[in-house]
Amino acid sequence: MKSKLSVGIITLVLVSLLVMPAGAGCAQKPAEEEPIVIGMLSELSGFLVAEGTAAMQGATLAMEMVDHKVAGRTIKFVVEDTATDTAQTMDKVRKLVEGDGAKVIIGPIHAGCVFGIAPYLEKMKVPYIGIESEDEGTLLQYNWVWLPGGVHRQSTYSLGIYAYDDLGFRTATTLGADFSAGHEFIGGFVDSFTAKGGTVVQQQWYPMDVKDFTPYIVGLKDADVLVCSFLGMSVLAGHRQIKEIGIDMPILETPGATFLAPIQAELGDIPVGMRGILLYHPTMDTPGNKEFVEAFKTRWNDTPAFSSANAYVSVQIALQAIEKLKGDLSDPEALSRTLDDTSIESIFGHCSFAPGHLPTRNYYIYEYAETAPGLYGKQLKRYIIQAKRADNQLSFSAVK
Amino acid sequence: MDEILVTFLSGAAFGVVLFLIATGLSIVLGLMGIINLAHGAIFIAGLYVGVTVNTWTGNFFYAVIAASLTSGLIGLLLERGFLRLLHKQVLAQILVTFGFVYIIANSITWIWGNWPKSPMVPSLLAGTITIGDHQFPFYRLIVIGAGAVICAALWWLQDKTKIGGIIRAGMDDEQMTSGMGINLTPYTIGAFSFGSFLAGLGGAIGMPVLGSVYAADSLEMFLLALAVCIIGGIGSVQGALAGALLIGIITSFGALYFQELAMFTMYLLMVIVLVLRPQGLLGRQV
Repeated sequence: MKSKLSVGIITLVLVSLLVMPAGAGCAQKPAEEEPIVIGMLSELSGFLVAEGTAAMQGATLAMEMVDHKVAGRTIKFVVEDTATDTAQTMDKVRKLVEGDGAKVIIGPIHAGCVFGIAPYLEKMKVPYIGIESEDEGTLLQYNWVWLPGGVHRQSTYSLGIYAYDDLGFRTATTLGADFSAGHEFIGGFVDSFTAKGGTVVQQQWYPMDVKDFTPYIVGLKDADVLVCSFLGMSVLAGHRQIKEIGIDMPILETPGATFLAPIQAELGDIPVGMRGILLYHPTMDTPGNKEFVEAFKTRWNDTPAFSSANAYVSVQIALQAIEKLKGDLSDPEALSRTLDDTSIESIFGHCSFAPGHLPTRNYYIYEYAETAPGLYGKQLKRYIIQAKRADNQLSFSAVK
Repeated sequence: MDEILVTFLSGAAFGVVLFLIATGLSIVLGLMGIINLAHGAIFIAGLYVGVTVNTWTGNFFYAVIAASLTSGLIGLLLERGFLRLLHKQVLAQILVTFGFVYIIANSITWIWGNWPKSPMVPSLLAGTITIGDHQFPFYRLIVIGAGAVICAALWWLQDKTKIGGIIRAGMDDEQMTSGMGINLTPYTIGAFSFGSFLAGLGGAIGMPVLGSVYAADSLEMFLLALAVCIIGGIGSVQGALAGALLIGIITSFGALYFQELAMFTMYLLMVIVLVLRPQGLLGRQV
């Protein structure tokens, strides 16, 4: 018994001697040597898997371009899959913020998921930097939201101006998804078009899970133009069925997947002549875009989608803010102010934020015209649309 | 008038596609009591194979055969490899098939990537007919016709053949049927595989009506098929046809005239049928 006790005491002393130096070393590591964690929430599964994966690729490339370092600090980039599901997004954002210590969250794309995490990030004072355009309700209600892609209504505001001023249309019929994004996309066009004097003769809304657009297409009223908002991959069925039913109205489209290379490979020349609003196209002549496209092709063996480019710029915005703060993120309010000071001439053109995180950015009118074998997309015009806030509502104007 | 006719035909075409996809699920549910959540994923896997074969060969009929056989084979592997080990364990069967939804969907993504595929339409059957001020795809009339022929064949198989009789007997009373010396196992295996085969066939023929195929739609397609089974009734070809056509046509007209309710039309129909006739319109008594 005595010998067992002795052995136990000796063992305890030896273990303490071994552990103590390592523990002492860990306790003293300076904060500035800790990596800065940037978290990304991405739809790597679920119905937005295509856009989410493209976004993850763009963001990852942005990190790799700076070798995961900024202002002398190492950046740890942690990507989590939201599965395009709000509940999973909530779990993952908590893991990123409370588990990994993320100081900035990039993404997700899905508006419902963004709206879900916004109050949590506000409580934790962790900025959310969006990828694509989002619901304006998120921007109006929460203060820790930055949207380089703007809000949905902002993205289509120029479409109404273009339809009225450039194309001379005076009446329009619309077909949009019966979802917040669909209503806001169409709403942006309606706002500017009717402000100019145009008339919207009809607005139709289809459920998000619709497979057959025929009843909606058959029910279209005659107008000078048909404005469509196809969300996600419904773009394939939508354009195909519009052509099948023999609609000969000119078509304008809100931001969507039509100009993506893999979708063009499936659509071919079905929507030739259609014009739409784009936030980004790989052929754009913007600062650094050619290099970005080449680097993306080398890294991912693919052409960048708009969500790739947007996520790339979102990461650049985060890194720029960290650089300005010289790597010191101890004050979240300082980070918030620095993000508000963002003004970047990026691969998709100009992007800046006014106080209140109100975005100003470029939007482009593109025509679905063949510019190279199997590649469609001809830039026709550029607009800079600025968001302003009054009485808890957003309004937009074109900046000359 | 032409609007009504085009909408009716469109709804009927959609209904026929739903019928082909859902019939297999209905028979399996009625005979084996298995809710195969992977039914939609199996159907989509068949479609991706079909589209690939169509791209390689340019032959629509080879593509349809490839899609059907692929779906049938996946169904067979699922039944023989997993579900037969979980006989009468309903919850375990549901969980296994739910797991296979993700396995199949992610396998599709791994092989074909994240992007959807366009439907294949044979050039001979492409083109439109004029109905009033509208064009209507000729192929959709072919889908309706093909569906009618397949439905008639299945109806005959179910009601006029020994195989159909045994399957119906197995659905009504498995123990009695087995007690009479009939080994139901080959019939259940056949029903499961054939149900999956039919889903692949229906999907390949009906893909132009659906607009595209996308791996992320796996569960959604299953829910549509389940709605058909609930409304039409489990375990009968007639029930699946009735349910599918009702869903297709009512959804179409709902979209044309009551767009605010378009999201709920199918589910409203389900609720009404469940309340008034829980076994479905033409299902066997619960």
